[in-house]
Amino acid sequence: MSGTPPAAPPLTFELAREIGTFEEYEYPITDDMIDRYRELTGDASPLYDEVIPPGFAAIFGREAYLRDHSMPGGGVLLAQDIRWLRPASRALPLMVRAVVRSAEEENGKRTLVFCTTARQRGQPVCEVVIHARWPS
Amino acid sequence: MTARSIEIRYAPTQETLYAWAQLSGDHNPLHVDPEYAAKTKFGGTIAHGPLALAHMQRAMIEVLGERWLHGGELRGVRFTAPVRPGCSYVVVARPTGEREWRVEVRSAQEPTVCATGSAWLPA
Repeated sequence: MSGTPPAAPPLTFELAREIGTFEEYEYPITDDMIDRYRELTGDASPLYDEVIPPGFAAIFGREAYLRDHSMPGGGVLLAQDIRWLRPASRALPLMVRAVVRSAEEENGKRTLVFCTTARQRGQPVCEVVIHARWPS
Repeated sequence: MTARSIEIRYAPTQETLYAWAQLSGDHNPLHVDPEYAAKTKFGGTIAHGPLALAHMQRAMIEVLGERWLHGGELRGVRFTAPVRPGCSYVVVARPTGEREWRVEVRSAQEPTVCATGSAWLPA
């Protein structure tokens, strides 16, 4: 045994369309991650002593459909929307689920639109919509 | 509520991109492999889009504080030019209405807009 975990299968356009709704799971945001985020962005708001920095939305919005898959090379992030419904507490688990909102192919160009909802205690806290040009 | 504007400067380095890749799990070679990226149409590594989004939301937190997290929306953010390590950028949030802002990431050296979208806070 090499000890190397098997590579995650690529999330192809066809596979994303087939999955449709991805399994909900707890996205872990540790104290160390928040410290590194503050250092990387220079965003030292004291709010983040209690709440998850909003910049994490674009991270968990993507990871919600890539937990069990790898991103195939050649994709392009076209556009993104983020909506906060309420602050996300650092003290509570953050559950994320991605849904394929649309999968379109036109003139040989493939576009996927994902909508990720993050919840705490069953209540939605954030919605992230990602429009991506997907590789063939 | 009186909307106000803000500007925030940042200058990502290649080390920033490595660290963001570790934080986010996005190890696309376009961001973290200078040799690979040099052979692409970008001619070098470029920053992750979500890093720009983090700075755009930082701007809105600085403008609105915790209110941003009670219904605040970034809408239609588009990535119009690459953000490159070793260059300087300015995040600008300017009010376009009582509760609306135009939010952009601009090059500090050139007249280039790298990311643009609108921010909105419901009444």
